[in-house]
Amino acid sequence: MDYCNGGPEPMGRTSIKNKLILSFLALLLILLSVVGFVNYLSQDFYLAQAISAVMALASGIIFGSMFSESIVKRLQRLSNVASEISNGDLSKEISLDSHDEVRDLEEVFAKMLNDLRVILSEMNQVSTQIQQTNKHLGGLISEVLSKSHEIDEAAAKIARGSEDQTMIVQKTAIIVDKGLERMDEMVKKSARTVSKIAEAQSRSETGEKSARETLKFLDGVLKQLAEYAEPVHTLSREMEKIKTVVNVMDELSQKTDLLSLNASIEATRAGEFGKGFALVANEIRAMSENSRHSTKEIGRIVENVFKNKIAAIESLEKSEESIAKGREIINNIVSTFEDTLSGVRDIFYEVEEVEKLTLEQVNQMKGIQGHFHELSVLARENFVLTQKTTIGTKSQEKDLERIVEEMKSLDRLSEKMLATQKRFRLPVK
Amino acid sequence: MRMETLVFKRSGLCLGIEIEYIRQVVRDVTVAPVPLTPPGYAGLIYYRGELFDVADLGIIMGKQHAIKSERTLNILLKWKQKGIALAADEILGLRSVEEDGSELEGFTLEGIQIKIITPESVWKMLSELPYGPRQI
Repeated sequence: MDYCNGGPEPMGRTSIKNKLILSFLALLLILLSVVGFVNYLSQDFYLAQAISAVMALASGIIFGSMFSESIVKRLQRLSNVASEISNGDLSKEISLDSHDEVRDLEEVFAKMLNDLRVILSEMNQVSTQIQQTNKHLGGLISEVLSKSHEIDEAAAKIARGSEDQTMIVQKTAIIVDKGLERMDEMVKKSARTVSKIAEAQSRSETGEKSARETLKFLDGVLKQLAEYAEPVHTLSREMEKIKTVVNVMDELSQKTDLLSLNASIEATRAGEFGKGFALVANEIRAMSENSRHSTKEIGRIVENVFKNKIAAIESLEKSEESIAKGREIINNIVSTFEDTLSGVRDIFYEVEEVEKLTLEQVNQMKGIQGHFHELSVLARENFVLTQKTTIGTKSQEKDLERIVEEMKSLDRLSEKMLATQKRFRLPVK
Repeated sequence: MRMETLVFKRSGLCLGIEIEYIRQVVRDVTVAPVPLTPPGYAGLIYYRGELFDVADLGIIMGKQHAIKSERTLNILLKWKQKGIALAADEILGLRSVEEDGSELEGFTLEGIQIKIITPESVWKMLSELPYGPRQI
């Protein structure tokens, strides 16, 4: 309640002004009573006036002294309390006895004292909280500093790593470039190989066709040979018969020869009587000899024919064998050509696949090369960013150190505040 | 006097024998080998109820490696009741020689040296063999 701004007075309250008016009225009543009484007794107006003045003066002095005494005493008490407060003692209580304007002062003073106590208490709490917060902040800052060191070290490592990474990426990019060049060469070689294999395939096909034609031709030759051999075989069979007949003739001639020889011997032994028989025997012997010679000649001719036939048959057989072998060889060649062709086709498809795959690989390698360039750029950016991070962490460390310094000063201030607060003595609750 | 001889060939040797002793010339008759007889003695021929000792003059006269023909001729001789057969490869023919001339030991026929043999000499050669047929 604002009592100092001339507001309406509270109920049951006596102001100093009222007290003074009442005191003056009472004094005036007393003076008038005394003047009346003295005047009645002495009938002297002047005396009565004098006595009344003296009494009024004495009454004024006594009432004034009493009134001022009561106000001064209360102000003195307030002054004492203020003096105690200034010395830091806030435990003193202000008694509110009267209901005058001084009470307003006392109430304001009491309120001020109370507010001061609350403020001090709050200051104490704030200081304590500041100190606790400072401690907590100190811990956090230590942690942040530690983390910042770690970040710094990590950033340094990342920077080194980025540098190494850049180097590796550059080296890898060079290797990939070289690999790409080689793969390009490989693709070209593959293309050349495909072309050569296609050529080989074409030649193999031609070869297979030629071999098949040769085989067909050889089959024809074999058939012809079989046809040619048939008369020879027939001749051979006839010759066998002739040989048998010639052998019989030879046997007959030999027997005739032997018979004529024995007849000659017998005729010779018969002497003169056997001369005619000897002549006949000799003739027979000569005939048989001729027959034998002829048979031998026929045999020789037959033998020659037979030998020639055998040679011819052997030649034919050999030719057949050779042609059969040739046919087998050409069959093998055809088979080999087929296998080769199949193999060449397989190789062609596989090499074509390899070429496609190599091309895909080249494209992928080109993509990888692009990625490596991007990676290189990223690594460089990383390096720059880590450098910036290092600088930032250093700056952060400096800021944190400044914060620590500020916190220390805050701590000192809070300590000072606490020390100041300790100077005040608060009432024990 | 002239003497008629049969000229034959055996193991490369050309030999001649007087016709008077020849019984017959045969071919393809079985010669039965006799055990424990020397190589020059080829065996025995049984021909028309008579036995003939077969002499291989090629071996006896030093041609150890006589060419054995499948169709060997045999000249059957009769001398002093003895039957002797001479193995021959080929009969070259009949030839008459002077009995008391220089051809009695041998002569030349168409550039070939012919040696005259007798059944007696053949028998003697057979007898002189280490295990001859008559020594048993």
